[in-house]
Amino acid sequence: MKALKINIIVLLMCCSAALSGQSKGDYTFEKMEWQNPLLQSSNAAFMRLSDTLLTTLGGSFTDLNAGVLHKAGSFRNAYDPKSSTDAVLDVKSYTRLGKLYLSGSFGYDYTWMRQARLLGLNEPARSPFMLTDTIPGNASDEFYRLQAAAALPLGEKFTIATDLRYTAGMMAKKKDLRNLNTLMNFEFRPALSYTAGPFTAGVTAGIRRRTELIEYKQIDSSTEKYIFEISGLWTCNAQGYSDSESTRSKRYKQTASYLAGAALQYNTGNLVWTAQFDMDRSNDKQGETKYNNFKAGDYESLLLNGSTSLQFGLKHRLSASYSNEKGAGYKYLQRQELDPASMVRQWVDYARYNCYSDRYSNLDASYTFRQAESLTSISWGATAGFGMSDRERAYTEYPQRFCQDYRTLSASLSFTKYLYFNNLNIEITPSAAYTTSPDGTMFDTVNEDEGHISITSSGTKEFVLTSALRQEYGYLTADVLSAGLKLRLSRQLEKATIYGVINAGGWAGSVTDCTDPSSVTLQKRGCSSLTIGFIF
Amino acid sequence: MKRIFAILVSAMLLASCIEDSIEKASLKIRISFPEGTEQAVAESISLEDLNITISNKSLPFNYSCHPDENGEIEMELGCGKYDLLASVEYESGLSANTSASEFILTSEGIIQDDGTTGAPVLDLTLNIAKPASIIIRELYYHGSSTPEGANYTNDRYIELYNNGAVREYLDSLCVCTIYPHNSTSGNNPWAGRDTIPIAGMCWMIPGNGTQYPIEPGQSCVLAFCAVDHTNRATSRLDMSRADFGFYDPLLSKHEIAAGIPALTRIIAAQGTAWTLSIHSPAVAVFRPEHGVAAYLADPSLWERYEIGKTSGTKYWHIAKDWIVDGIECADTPQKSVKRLPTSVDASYIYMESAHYSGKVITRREKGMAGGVMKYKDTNNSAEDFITDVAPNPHFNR
Repeated sequence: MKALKINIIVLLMCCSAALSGQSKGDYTFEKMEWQNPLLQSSNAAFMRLSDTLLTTLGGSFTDLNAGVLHKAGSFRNAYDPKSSTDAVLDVKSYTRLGKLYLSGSFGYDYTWMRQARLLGLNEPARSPFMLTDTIPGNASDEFYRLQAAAALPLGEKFTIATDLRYTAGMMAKKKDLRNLNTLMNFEFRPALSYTAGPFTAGVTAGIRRRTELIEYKQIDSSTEKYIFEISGLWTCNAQGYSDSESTRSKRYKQTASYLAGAALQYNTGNLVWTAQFDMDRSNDKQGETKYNNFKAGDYESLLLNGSTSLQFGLKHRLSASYSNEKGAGYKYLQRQELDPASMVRQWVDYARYNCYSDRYSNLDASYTFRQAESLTSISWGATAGFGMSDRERAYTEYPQRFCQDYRTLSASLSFTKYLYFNNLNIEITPSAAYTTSPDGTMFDTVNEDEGHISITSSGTKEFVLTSALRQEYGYLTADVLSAGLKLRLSRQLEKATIYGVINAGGWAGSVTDCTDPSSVTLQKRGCSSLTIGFIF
Repeated sequence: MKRIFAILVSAMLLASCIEDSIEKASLKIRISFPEGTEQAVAESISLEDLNITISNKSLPFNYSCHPDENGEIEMELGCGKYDLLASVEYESGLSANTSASEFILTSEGIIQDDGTTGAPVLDLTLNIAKPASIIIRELYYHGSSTPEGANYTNDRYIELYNNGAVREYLDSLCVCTIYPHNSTSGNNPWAGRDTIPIAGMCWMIPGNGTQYPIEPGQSCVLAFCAVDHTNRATSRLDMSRADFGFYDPLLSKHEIAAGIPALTRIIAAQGTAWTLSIHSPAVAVFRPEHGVAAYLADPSLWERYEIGKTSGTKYWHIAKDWIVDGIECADTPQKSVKRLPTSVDASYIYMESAHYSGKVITRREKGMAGGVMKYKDTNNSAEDFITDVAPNPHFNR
């Protein structure tokens, strides 16, 4: 922590004095993207495209802010807490040292969660496999995030760059069965760009490594607790939990990702066309941390994301993006055998079979109009958006197959009014969105050999976590009306600009019980946040 | 430049393809009568009546089907790990079963014990169940807790019952658990053999041959510690009413109330207490064919090292035909490789409640006959027992 503090101070000391004649506080990252749509791209070499802007800003731009975000309400996913409060500290900076372009960020956030359950993993939606308990309880998590990128021009046309990201964190549940998760993410991306006249092209490739260690513990041994092995689509195997050193559940999750990206830009000054393509190929493995080779399951996914935008001057922007994700979950056929050399029982692999599939696609399009004289002198702006998504999931133990599918359509509208009073700038942004799900099936059970074999549950255990399945599906397919209001105030001080952002919003979801379509409940959730920051 | 770009893109896309296909595997099951089956018995059992249940060990659901008149059936399943049980019970009391424990089926065949892949065929021989007179009616192995919440295992017991129609004698009846102490997933080196190893200590009901009769419908409770646990454990069992206690003065962890006869520890093993697993014991009640004295007098015949070893721990063995009754208790379906032969227990049973729950497994009632209760006894614990019930030992005191 001490080393991190020193690095932030060094970074801040590199910033040059405030530019003369124009306030840095007039700029935000959102406004700067109109000058360089590739500013926050995954390709760090595109920082060079902000050269003119950085000169205007005196060679550097830093945004330091701290805030609190609170969410509460009944409209939530199965693993969302009933309420949460998030305290955040964030600093982000761009600077130029001679020919070298640098960017860096440091973030710290601490979240208090109330009545959270099914959080066997920090991000349960990323994998179909999870070891978890179902009892709601308070939890908290704490993360440190570091990012550093550097870009170096090689002559007039080429730029090379590298981007490093590191995240470390912990999450802990405060009620039996209580899990302690320790996380580490590391990402490394070299990049290259080429500029010739109005054309700019860039490629990037990288690796990401995510590691999560999960340990379960039971403090109160006077009551029975159950732990669930989830295998996809909330199918599960439950067993009673006994806490001792030898039986305590310790799970690891390791994800290795291979990243690639390409981008193309045509920029005549008045017309900017941008196209980006990103690929994320991930292999996820879960197992026990004991040295016995037990494997819980693998999940392989491929995410392809393409986006394009067409910008006319500072007033018009048309954007569209399409993403497609395909995933496959695998279980291992293992048998515990005595190793004659070490006299230790080990799990030996014999086969791996595909049991889970997940396909998701999403299309978004939006149009933004701004009444703007310059990057920082804007009267008002409005954005209208449209989106659609499609998802299919299936879990199969042939001949038994469980399927789920749904589609969503959404529309959104936001409006921003900019007001300028001497040293005080005000932005007011009301927004609204509506999402609906025209059709879908929560859980279809198919016997693919019906004439030959009948399928029944064994014992009294359910093999699907029905409550979680219904809550998740109800949340994802609800008709949702959301509305929000954002107020941003900024004031120029002697050497910096101070700003504050107040956000308030809410969702109202009309959730249908798929087992009884006539049963529709209205659930709500609200959020509010306060952020105070400095720009210099 | 263009060609290189095209090749790079193609290579990237090919390398990143996600395979998403369900692999199916063929399985053929062939069930036959054992050699020497009497004609009358073979004619009483129709192989088509056998109910084949294949348990998926990944998720708690079963596949059910029936073979043809020749006892054969062929099907397609997904690759996975399964247990198979085939059983039939007739109203006359005649029953038959057979099983295959934890086999791994891949698209290429069934994984054998030595790790090689064999043909996807299961050849199974029926066990014609012979109802026994002396059965285990109730087994309490999970343990409970003290009023303060600590784990407590001294209140456990085994209850024997005369399910027959005539008086039997308990003298020289032996009680033990089968090795390994806990159920596992994986291979059992002693599987398929005619003798099975005892795990640790073995106990015998004493007597001169006619000292301890048990009448039809009567129980006999064998207590781990035959004392009153009413104030010690949440189970509130008074084991000072038991018929016998597992007690030896050399075992510091065992207790016995005054007036209760002690079982005789005929195989000492090691430790200060009898190891009755709280997770998954395989309990057997047996009587050596030529008597206990003759059995113990010949360690060269009955005491052996583990298969494939020539040093280390030696285990006393018993012939599977000596077993009067036995129960295979598994911890979970994922850890249920069989220790008892299928002729003793075709399947296994497991508790859904957590350890130290204070709950027991108890035999299903079949109905009254001749004024006494008869219990279900098809040599298939999955069918014969109910799990996770409150203890209800039938005391004689």
